[in-house]
Amino acid sequence: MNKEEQDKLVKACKQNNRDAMEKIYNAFMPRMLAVSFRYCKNQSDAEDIVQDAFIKIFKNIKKYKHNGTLGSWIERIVVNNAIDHWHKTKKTVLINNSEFMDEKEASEIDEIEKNHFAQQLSADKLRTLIHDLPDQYRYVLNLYAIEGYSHKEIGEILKIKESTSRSNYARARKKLLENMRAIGIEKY
Amino acid sequence: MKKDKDLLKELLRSKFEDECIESSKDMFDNIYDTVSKGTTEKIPFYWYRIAAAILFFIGLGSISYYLKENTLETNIQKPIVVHKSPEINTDSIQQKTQKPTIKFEENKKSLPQEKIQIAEETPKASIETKTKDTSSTEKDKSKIDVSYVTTQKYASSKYSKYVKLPDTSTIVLQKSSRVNYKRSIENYRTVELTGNVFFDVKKDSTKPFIVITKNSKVQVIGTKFVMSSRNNEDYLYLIEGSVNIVHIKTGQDQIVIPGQSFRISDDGIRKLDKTPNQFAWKTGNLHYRNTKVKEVFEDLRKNFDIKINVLDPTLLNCKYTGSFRKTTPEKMINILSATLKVNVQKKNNLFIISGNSNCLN
Repeated sequence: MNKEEQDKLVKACKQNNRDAMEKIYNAFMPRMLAVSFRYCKNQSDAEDIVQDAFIKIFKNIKKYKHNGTLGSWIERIVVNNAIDHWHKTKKTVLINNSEFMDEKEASEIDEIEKNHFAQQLSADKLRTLIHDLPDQYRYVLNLYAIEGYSHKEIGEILKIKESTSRSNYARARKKLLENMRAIGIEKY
Repeated sequence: MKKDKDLLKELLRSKFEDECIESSKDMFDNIYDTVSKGTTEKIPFYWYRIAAAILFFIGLGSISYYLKENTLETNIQKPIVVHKSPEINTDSIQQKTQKPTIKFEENKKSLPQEKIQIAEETPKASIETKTKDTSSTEKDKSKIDVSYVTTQKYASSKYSKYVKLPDTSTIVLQKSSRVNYKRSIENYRTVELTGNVFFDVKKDSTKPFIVITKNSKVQVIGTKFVMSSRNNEDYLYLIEGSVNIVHIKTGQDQIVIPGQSFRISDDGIRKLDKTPNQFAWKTGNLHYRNTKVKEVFEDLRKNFDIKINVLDPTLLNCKYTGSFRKTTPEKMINILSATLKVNVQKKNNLFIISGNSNCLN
């Protein structure tokens, strides 16, 4: 789907055109489901989030200003929705403890290991590993490493301190790496 | 570490960049339904909410209003035991028993002269019994005038009662006093007054505050004053601000400055040199000249909610002359007993006065 086609569809969506909406939905739905599934632990939650996000998208499509791609705009809404969902459902607040802190042992990952993991671990597998992380770590990791937000932005989005985001990311990374190694070690 | 970080990030990004998951169900119909529903139903839903909010506030307002009224009534209906010295009790009983006999005479004889006498006596008697036997005679209940914010407020019979009027003015009612507060459509705040009441009126030049008694209309601009209206005579003592008295019958009017007291009777307004004794509860000033001790005690009872028991009834007929300024009941009774040469015992609110009267008159 090229840009002109997208613009046409968006225009049609603004007129409340069902076919145009369906086309956009079908084009972006699988990708968005993958995004939201990184944030929450089961697929039905992920689907709910995506559904809500698409409702929001079509209701507010008039506000879409054509700056940035449509895909990134939709993705941002999905991510925000996932965060809202988490804020609504979260019952425990992660206290900044030193349970996982053991900075010295954090061994580095090198190019070979990275390639090995890239081969060995499917996206599915990697996602389950991410799901094993505590909620807040998972959000910080997703937002920072994959979505590419800065720690400052993450602090604002998740209503935590920038430094908390930073340390959460370091710990999440370390824990994820450990888990990855624990699975992939035999073949390495 | 820096390099390491980038590697993991890269790994994650490359893995998830274009990842897609096929949905287990088709949700588009759902989504389209909600979106199109949302656009058509948005406006009526909005109005329902406003209507619900209005109903809710009306309900809340009426509940609080009725609760307020209820507490007022319960305050009034509280049974109150008033201790009195035996002399006064017999007094009031006598008056009570007198009342029917007078009526009896009225029925029996129809001489015009007698009738006038009776007409003069009956209201006095009934008022006196009312003030003394407050717990039983306080049968009136507060009525609510439906036309506008109008409440009738009564003092509890034992203690003076603080009331906030709807315009946030404060009034303090003494025993068996009544204030009917009304707000007219022309924005006048009017108060019909009987009894002995202190006013602290909230200043509001757009809403004139007018006190109406039998003989006078008093126009008030934010001020503090005490006013009493009993037995066809009104008394007014101004503490702060300024008021304007208008005599209803003659149309005579009088501007009052703070510290002045006035008596408004049937035939006109008259300035008083001294503050009337019935305002002692507010001013602490009492003045007597050749007054019976009985009346002095009566003033003390009415003003300060104290009980005085006199063991020797002849003492009550002694005369007393003197003035008190900013006094308290304790101080006053001590001075009185010193001049009358009698002993005083105090138990809580009860003063027991013993000793024989030494006065000659």
